[in-house]
Amino acid sequence: MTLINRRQSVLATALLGCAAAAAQMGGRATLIKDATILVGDGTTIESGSVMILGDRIGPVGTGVEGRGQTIDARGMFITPGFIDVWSGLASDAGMNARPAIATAADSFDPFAKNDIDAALQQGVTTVYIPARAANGVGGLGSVVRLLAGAKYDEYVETADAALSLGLALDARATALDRVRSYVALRQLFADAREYRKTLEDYEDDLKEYNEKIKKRADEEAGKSGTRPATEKSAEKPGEKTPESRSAEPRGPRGGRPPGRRPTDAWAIDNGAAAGGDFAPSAESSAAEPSGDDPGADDPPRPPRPRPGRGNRRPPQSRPNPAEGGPEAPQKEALKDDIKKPAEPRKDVTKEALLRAIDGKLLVRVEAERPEDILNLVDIAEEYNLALAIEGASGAYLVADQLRRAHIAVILPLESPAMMWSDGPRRSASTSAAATLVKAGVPIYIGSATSGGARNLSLAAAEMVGRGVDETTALKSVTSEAAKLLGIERETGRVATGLEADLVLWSGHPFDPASRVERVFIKGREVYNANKSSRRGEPKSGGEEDRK
Amino acid sequence: MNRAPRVRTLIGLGSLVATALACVATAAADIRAIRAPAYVGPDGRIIRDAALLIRDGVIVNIGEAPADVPVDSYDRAVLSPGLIDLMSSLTAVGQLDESVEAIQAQARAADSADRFDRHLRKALEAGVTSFVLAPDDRNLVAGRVAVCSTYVPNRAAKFVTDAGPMKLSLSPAVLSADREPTSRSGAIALLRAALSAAAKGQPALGRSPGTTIAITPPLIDFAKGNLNGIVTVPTAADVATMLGLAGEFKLKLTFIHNNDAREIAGEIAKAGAPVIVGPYDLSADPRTAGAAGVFEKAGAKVAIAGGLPWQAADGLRLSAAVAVRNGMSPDSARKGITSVPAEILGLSGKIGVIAKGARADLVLFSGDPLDLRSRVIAVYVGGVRVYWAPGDE
Repeated sequence: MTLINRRQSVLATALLGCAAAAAQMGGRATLIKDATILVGDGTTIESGSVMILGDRIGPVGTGVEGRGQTIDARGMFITPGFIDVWSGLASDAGMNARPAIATAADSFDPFAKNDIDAALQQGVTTVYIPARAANGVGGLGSVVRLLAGAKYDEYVETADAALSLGLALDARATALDRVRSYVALRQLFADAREYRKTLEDYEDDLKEYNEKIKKRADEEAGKSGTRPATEKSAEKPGEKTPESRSAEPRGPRGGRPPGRRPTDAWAIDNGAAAGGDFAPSAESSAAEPSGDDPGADDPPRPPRPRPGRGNRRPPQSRPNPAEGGPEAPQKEALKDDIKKPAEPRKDVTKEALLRAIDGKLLVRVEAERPEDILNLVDIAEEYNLALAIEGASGAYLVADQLRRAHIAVILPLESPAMMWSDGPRRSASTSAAATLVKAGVPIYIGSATSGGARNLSLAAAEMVGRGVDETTALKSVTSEAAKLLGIERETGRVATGLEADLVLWSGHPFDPASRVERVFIKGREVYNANKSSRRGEPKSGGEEDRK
Repeated sequence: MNRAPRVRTLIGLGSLVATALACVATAAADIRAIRAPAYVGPDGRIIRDAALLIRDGVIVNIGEAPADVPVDSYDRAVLSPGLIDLMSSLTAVGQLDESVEAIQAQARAADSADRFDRHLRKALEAGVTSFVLAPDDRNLVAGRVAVCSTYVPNRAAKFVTDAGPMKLSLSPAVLSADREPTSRSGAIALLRAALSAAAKGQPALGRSPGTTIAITPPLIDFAKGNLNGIVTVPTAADVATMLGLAGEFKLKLTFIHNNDAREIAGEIAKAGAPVIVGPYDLSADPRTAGAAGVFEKAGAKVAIAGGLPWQAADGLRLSAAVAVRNGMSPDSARKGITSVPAEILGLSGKIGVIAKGARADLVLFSGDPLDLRSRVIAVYVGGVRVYWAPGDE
């Protein structure tokens, strides 16, 4: 389920990077020696070593030698940092419907050090935070690295990892509520398609309009043969520049850039966003010098249905009498018979939905009942969505349909209680994961809303006890989890060139007696069991006064 | 506790010879051996090579089994005592929450048990052979807990196997606007009055206006130290108070729900009072789940509760695994779900341990019982194999 392609050059760079380069660049080199390496993709390297070069993983394997700091890890295990693909850690995004400009990353508190430490202490280095919604669009879910106290750009891996949608179905939902909810969900996508059509129509109309203007100007120029007229017509495209500039202060949407590393689909747009609201203007003004040639570069950038962080709005067309002056009558004359098309209002939510329809943005929906899951399968097929279902207690009952539709299932790490419930989770079963795996459905586990990212490794161990093979269980919290989140080129495996998110365990991560000794994120040591104050120690020997 | 299944042959005929013969005959009929590569020893460690000889449902020897005895032999398995969940509402959810009287020492949790509950079988298949029904936290003195078996093959089977310790609570849930006590100091005063009435052998404790609290034999037993008490203590202050009362009277106490009691773990250990921690789930925070290790290091005996049926059937092992991940030693954790609970229930050496004289309630796991990757292969109750996991033979 690779949704997003990202920087590809890093691999090569790091491969060639070698210790020398890292040393030259001031990057630290650390060698972790003689451990059992669980790579994360199903392979195991016995008595292997891992070199950390700066923020990346250097050579991995047996017989790796190097300078710098050496950590003797005999008898220990190295794994990639675990990834909690569904977490509420250190964030409270609420359940409100929001426009898709809202990213869950904004709800993450990098200063919630206790929560972050508790997760690191269990080997979790990366979490996905959903933009949960009780109904409709919840916003964009984000991937966050657990770098406590770091800057936004450091800890936010991907601000727009997935689009969170909610079904308006609570525990007491009736059949009619269901009908309404699915009508509403389909309407969202239908409206998005309509929006795309509107944008395309606008684009066509605008092109036509510009052609007409140009033709008219050429005609007039031919008639009069005077330069001023040509100049005027040549200015037509340029007219957008002052207008859009003047529009900026009036109505900018103060969105922030969606985190570093935009997806391909975002690349251009994000550049614009990074450049602030002036990027489009800069583009236009760059075209101005060549304004002598009226044919070149004159139409405004077509407002392709590009997802956008929305500062960048295509130029508005609105009557601007101030611009009139002496030329006004002439302009009026033009506008009389050639009408400029009205630009459609930009809608970030619809643009996110369009990215989803194009398969460029994963859609995630919480659903429990098998019937609801089947309805979502239908919608995913109808609109060509890449879909993952969260919660999904009833998914194992419709495993074949999910496999055929390539839909991923994200189970909560807490197992269902024995107590029977008549709520939506009534189908919950402890053997759900094994059934889904056997059917070929990709499964993942996440801590959902229960206490953040703790004990993910024990949850994976528990899956093994319930019939999932150990390799699949480990992959589901490492390499496969990274793929689901579109960060597999960054993290999720102990492999050369990836960012150095590594966990050193005293034993196998699934053994409860194992402890996390050290945790690295991007090569930085963020947890060390021997240095951090040990939790669980009594503060004093019980000499408190009493009575 | 004498729960060994009665000899089923025709002893009733009654002559001396017949009886003597019956012993031999039933020995031949009801004797079996279980072999496994490893077992959980009395100190919680995993010991190599288990060969148990079981007669009439009781472990009679550990070591070599005679050659002519039928043997259940298991490869790649660890034999564990049947697990004991000390804090369960299995079969009686919502039925243990009586709040009208603050002191109801005569109440029996056993009366709320339901042998037809289908969850029993699930718990059994997860390796839990005994569980404890304990009243909720709304009475100062809530009556005796019930020790129950998860294996109930028929209506005649012994389901509630033992009456356990007295249950007490200092939780704020005890306080009520409608009756005594209404405050913490009132609660302690009332408890002290009741205990001293019981210790003096008074039949009743008069309270204004015109009400009395009956001083029943279980309360007398508790006040004189003949009956263990399990006390809910939300705070360290509650522990201190109870330790004070234990000194004034002769109370034998176990502390439960002790999220903050870790602050005085040393004193608890010094007083020799066991502690019940948990249940822990996968989202337990390090401080809460770390308490198990803190009590252990302070020297207290630690039992781990599973909280069935509010967790999955393997919630007891999960609690133990989380306790270990957060600092408890694996050996203590294995004891915490077997022999320490038995001790708290006054059944030490009879259940929860693989030792001569203990009832053969046994579970075969595919590995260490604490490792969540391990599965249950087979379960024995009273020496009879009552569950065999599908796919295993």
